[in-house]
Amino acid sequence: MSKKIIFESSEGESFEVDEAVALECQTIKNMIEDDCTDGGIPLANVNSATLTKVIDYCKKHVEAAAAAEANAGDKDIYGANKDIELKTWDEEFVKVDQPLLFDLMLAANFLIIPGLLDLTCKTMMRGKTVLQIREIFHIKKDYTDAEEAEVRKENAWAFE
Amino acid sequence: RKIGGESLRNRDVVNEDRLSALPDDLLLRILSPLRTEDVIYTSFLSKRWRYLWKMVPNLKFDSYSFSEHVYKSLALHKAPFLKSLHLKVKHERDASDVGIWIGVAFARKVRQLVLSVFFMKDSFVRFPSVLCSWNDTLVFLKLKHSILLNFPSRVCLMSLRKLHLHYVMFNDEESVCPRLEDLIIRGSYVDVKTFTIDVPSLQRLIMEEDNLVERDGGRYVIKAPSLKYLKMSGFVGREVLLIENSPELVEAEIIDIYNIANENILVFLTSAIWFCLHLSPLEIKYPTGSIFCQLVSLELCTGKIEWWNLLARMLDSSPKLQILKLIPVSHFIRQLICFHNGKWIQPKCVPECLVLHLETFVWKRYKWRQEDEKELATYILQNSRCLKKAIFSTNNPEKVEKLGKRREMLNELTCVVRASSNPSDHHLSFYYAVLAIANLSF
Repeated sequence: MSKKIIFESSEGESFEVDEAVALECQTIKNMIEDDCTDGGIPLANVNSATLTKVIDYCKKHVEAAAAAEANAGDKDIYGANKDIELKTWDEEFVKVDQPLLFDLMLAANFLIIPGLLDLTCKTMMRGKTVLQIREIFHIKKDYTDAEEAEVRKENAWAFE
Repeated sequence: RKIGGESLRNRDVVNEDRLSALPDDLLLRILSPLRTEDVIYTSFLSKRWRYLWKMVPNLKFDSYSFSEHVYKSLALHKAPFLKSLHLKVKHERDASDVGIWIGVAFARKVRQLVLSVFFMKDSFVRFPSVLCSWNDTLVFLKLKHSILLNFPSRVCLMSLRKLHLHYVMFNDEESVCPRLEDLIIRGSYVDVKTFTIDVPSLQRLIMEEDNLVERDGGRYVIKAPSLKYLKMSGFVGREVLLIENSPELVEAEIIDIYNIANENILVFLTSAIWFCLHLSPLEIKYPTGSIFCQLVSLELCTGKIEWWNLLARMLDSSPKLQILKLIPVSHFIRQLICFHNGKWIQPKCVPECLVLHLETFVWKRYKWRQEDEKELATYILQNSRCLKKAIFSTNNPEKVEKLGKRREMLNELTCVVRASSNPSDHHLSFYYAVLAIANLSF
């Protein structure tokens, strides 16, 4: 049986995962190599909802890599392209509300999961106008009217 | 009380601007995939964002006419180095400046350059060849469509790992890319007598030509001893197509190659584990005596003249084959050739792979208009002693009566398997496509 790693979310909830899944996180990988994972890994800045998703992501990618390995000679046997399948899965995976997407990005950044970090960053602003971005992320305009006019002038060449 | 306090805090959290509070490196990551013009718009958000766009290491332009925007962005750009420059040129007015932009990008040590040119008219952009005489920062170069690559002098791209050329024209005296691992040449017009790829570091090579255009002459020589993946498609009417030994090759797809006076395409691919062949045995040279000792999986196209003879030969010379998949042609044009001439003849002795290794047999979109095809399927099912899985699928929505006939046929084949001394026949199953089942139940 494979070794298990225990994560503890910010709410104190425990999550048991296979070592292979935990290894997807570079930060955890370093801890495992330094042998300091006994008694669980407390993740004070990752809540349970986010951690559940992060583990889902890592599991899926470990499984996909294992399947690709096992099927090296059995490519595309059902007419499905594994790469495309995983990409589609990723796209579905990030169809979550904005706060959760944001937490996922922070978790990926903290745990160092490059694939998840890229995926969440890429999705964060995609297809949104500046007005929508301002509204979704509650960005307050702190320019005075004069300053805003200046910014407009500065970048006028791009807004024509 | 505590619960109330929590929810109050949550409400604050909900309205908090967490995005602007992020460190620069994360914000730059978020901005990086966007088009540069959209990135510049974010300077309106707040003071935090005013100058951030200048630090984004990627520049990406694809609007209709963007000449001034590119100049300005390059001039105002302040990132320590330029990670990538993407240019999609659609207007001829922009074409004349491409050389300058690429020059600036090279000076900024750009690592990825993607240039595509889409003109309505029959003109092209000349790639600034002088810049390529020495460069040690460019890692990835992708050029698409109306681009002319004309290198009067030697090209040295010391760090280049990936080169993708799609539908460009080039004549190349000599290029040196000592680290090149990934080369794609798709539908490109090569104006050289002998085109030699001599890259010891090359691991993946894809060469595709349009197979509907017959060409006269042209010599291709490929020397890539580290090659792991090869795809060659649509080479028709060429004079020479020679591959030198590739002992590390794992996967090969060889599609639509015919009328070539001198080729050896199958001879040196003997280390392959996975093969996809869309070939007719009448149109290529089959290596005599050579054996595909490593081959585990074979995909063979059933739309080629006498394909069953190629199958017979491949079965004979692939003693370790575990997976056999028969697939239809991907495009309709050459699909009409089936069993019209020639006939499937059973091999004199049963190939070793059938007796000892074949576990999976797939026939996609089987038709069986001819008895021969049924005979072939029967032969494989009867003689494959280790078969675990047989799949006969039909993709198209069919008439109910047709499906009924096919089911009968499959029932017959099931009987064949039961009758043969297959020790593991309880693993054997037949699949219809889901659609077929749905239709049958009516």
